[in-house]
Amino acid sequence: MGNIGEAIAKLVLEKKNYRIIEQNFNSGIGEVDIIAGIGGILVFIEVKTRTSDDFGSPSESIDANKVLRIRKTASCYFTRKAAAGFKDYRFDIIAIMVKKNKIRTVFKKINCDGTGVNDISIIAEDLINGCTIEHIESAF
Amino acid sequence: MEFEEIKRILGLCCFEDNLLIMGYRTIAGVDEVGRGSLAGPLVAAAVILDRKKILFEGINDSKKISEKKREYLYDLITDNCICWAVSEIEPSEIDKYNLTKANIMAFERAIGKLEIEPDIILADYVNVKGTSSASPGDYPAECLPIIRGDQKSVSIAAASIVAKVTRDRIMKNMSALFPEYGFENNKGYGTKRHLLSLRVHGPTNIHRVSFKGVLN
Repeated sequence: MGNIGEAIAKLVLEKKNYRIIEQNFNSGIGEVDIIAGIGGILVFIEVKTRTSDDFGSPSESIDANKVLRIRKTASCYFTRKAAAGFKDYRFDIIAIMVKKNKIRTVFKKINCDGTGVNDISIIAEDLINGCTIEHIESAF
Repeated sequence: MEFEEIKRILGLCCFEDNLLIMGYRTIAGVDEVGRGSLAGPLVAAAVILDRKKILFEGINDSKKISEKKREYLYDLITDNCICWAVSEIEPSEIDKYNLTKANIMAFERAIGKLEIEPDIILADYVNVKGTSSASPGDYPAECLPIIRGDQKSVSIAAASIVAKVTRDRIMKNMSALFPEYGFENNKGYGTKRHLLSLRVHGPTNIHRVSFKGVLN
């Protein structure tokens, strides 16, 4: 079913013509939220979600340990999967800030249009307009 | 607990975890039991689980687990959740209002009895083919109806267990008062034995006289 922040990030990437290759790639050491490709570059993306209540910008919450784990996981990816056809790679962060009152209007919309929710990612499409999304390329 | 079981239960936390990411703090699951029963109350339960204490082995939609397991999980859930409450809609009230309305009333009463007011409520989306379903506007404010919620959300599953065990206990007590109908087994539902007893003895004051098959 998945994570709402990742669902929003995925929609944003698709709109920018990224090709989503893998989600939640797990090596023994860590996990990468999204692996995508664009223009011959393989991009490893970490998604951070916050609501307007929380402190600090989402990109601030990624510390050196996390960075190291993502790098190690990326090298696992290279050894395990044939990352052929890519000339370069990159680490990005997508930081999503959701306005809490926007969430209420989305739920009201779900309620008014007559369907219950099957999958949390259905909400992503609606939430996008109420979010501040920062896509930081080569974040580390 | 087996790793597969842990993964399964964490998979039931998807809605809750996403709501927590979105900033909701207290999430209540609600469910009801006894809609189709010919006798006895409609029981609804509301449960606010502690996110740190959700690994109840075997937790699932109450219809999918044995009575013994349900009783065991009822104790675990009520001991380890943040708060919980049940409400009953009496047979006479069910006769008075339509079933969908009674269902929503039951939810609202149970939620109202919680010690802590929830930010958001997860409910099973009542959608039975061929009968009228609750229209979304009927649900209490700030309620997220989930299709097959009792199988998809740990909070709703927990509420379904609390509701079922509560109601089953009530119906066992009823069988002492009205021994002819087999309530300790059928819990008020229209089994062959129950229908036969209705023909022979007629309805009791806990039968829902507006239901088909009760008054002949």
